[in-house]
Amino acid sequence: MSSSKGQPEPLATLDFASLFASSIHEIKNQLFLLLSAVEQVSQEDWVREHVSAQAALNRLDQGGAQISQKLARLLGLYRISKGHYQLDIAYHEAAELLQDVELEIRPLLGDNSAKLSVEGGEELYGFFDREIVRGILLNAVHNALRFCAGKVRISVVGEDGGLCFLVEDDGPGFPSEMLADGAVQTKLDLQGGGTGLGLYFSATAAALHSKQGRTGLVRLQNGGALNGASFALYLP
Amino acid sequence: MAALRNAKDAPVDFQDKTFLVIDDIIGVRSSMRITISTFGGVKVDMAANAADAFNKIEHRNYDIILCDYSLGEAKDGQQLLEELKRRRMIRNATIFMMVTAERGYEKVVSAVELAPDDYLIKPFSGEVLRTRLQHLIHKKTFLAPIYELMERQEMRKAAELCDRLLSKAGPYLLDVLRLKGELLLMISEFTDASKVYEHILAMREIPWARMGLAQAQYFLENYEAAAEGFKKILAGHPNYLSAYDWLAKAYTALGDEVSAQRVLMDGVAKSPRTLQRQKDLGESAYQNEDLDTAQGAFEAVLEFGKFSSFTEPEDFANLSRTFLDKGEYDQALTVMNNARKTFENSPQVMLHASVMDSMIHDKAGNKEAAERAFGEARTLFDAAVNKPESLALDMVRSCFQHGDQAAGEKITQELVKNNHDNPAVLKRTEQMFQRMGMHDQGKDLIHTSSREVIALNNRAVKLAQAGDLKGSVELLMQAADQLRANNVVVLNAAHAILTYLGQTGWDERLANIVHEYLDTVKQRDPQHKKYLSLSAIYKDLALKFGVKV
Repeated sequence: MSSSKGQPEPLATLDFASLFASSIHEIKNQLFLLLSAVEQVSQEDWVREHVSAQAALNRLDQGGAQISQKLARLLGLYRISKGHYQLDIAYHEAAELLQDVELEIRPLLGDNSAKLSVEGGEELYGFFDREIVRGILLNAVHNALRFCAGKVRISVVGEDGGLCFLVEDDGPGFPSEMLADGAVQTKLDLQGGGTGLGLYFSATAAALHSKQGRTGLVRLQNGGALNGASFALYLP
Repeated sequence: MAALRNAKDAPVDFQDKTFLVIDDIIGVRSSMRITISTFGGVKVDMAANAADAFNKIEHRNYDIILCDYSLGEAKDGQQLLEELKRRRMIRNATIFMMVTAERGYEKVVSAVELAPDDYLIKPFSGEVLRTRLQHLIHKKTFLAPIYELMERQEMRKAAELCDRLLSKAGPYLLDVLRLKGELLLMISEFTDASKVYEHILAMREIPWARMGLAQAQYFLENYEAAAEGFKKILAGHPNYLSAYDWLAKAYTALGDEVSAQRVLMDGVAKSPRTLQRQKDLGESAYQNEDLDTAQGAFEAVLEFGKFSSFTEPEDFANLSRTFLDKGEYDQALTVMNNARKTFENSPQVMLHASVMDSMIHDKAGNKEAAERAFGEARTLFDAAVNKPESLALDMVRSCFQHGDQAAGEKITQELVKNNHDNPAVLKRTEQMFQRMGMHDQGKDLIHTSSREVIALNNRAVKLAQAGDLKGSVELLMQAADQLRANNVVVLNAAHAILTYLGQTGWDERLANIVHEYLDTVKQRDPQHKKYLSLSAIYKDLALKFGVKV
């Protein structure tokens, strides 16, 4: 990066991808410090006495967590593209993972706990990177909670020697343009707003899982058990 | 629902569990204590750094260790875990969980070789920690009978138990298979071990399984296949550091020392602070006569080992010898002077230093000093019990430099006889003679000396085949008594006696001799594969004849 005689490097030759990646890394760490401060403040006695302050801090906390997740996905994509991503494939029980996801989501639901149901996965085993799959499912559940009318269901079944995780809701379903191309997510839709990147990350990370020529994928459908949107993650 | 499911989700009482929380930040430690108390954990100790943790673990048995990845000082959580395992300070039944901020996560996961039982990304709730621990406790409970046999060194039985547990292993299937593979490697059942790892790899490409398979292939002397396996691991997991060391070993076995050096250089670039790898690199480069690289590596060993107890006088001698060969005599002498200071004139360092000095002074033309050092070296060498191979080789070289041909040959013979099945030592010996311009004489010496041992072995085998088990045992015992430093010969004798006892019944005198033989090897190499399997046979035999050992 160094250039002679104090002249800045010409902008055109900057490696923006690397620049963005390292900036995102820094932003994420700063965000982590911010969130720790928020958590610290919310432990204070005077905050506990003020409902409105508590609510505001909660919003800060959850908003921050979502920003952090988005940045993590961007960084994840960058590392995958560079071939730096270290997959940690191990043997897990599907039920254990669903339990993990549930533990993370439940506290966010507050009084609406009945919204979420989690089913299956006992004695279903698979080879996958737990943190990646957890991230994919959390993203899908967050989306479903945003668009559902009242119910979200997470489940898993054995499929074709692998596992198929389902996140379904009773909302209006995916818009038709998202269901094109056989509903298998392959393209990054930059116009699509928030969900585009999450889905693209999910599809890319799913594809890192492969076995004897078969690769993991994300499939979107309308209908399903709750007659709304149905997000399927298949892992071979 | 299966019984296993109920057992697996059964709540665990954390009241009796002992916890150790390792974190350098006091606020984090106290908040961890609160988190643990939310699910009933009360016996919680704290450690602020690695030294503190070692101290606590030495004095108390912990069920659960929660360690932060970044400990704010020279040593991180992963290095702490590795050292605990190397020093056998934590039992298999202990749960070791690594805690990390998201930033450190990748490092934790890419440390694929010696993984913690689980990792947890901050921040997390008490409920998340509780469920993770509950799963791990159930897993350890399931594996406990295998661990118990392992603690008693009953590796063969442990491997058999793995087989019986496989059908009901459920979520722990891979854990049981992994243990089985490791156990089979330990007891030298390399063909069976390969099968286990191939079975796992047919399910999924997992680096530790590829590692196990390649190691088994290495021990089966299928070096080509082993090298391919190690390469495959490194292609997907460049941070799998021990794969560099194994690949280098495979190349050495294939006679390709240049590739071995290249691979070790790659590994050193990834992690320069590993003493053994630097040492291996130094030796490999020295063999390739790349003296500059050898010097750098041997210097690194001393530099990084400065504040640990892991350097030995031999490490100084390695560097000094490199300077000697480069013709930098002052440097060579200075290194050994430093060694004397570092080890406070211990008998071991005085021996190494006098041997090196006798060669350096000779080359530098200080005849008087050379003779004085050589005299001292001869006396100390004859009196020494522990003579590492490199020391013996230096002594040989010094003998020839000083014209004491007879002594040089005698030490060479001893060295070769004690290492007749160790191609690396034989090769180094041959190379040294080559450097002295005595290639043919050296080859002859190596050949005749190793042939003596081999001939004796063959005679014993023939006697045994002819049905004279007793005669064979006597012969091998004779050899073992002559070549006490040769693990292979001593273990061969032990093996023969055990077979004899198995056929003719318990004999107190012979049993005592076996015990002594096994002990001799255990002192030198407690992890020696054949030693482990023979000591298992010994125990089984004693049990069979109702003798308490």
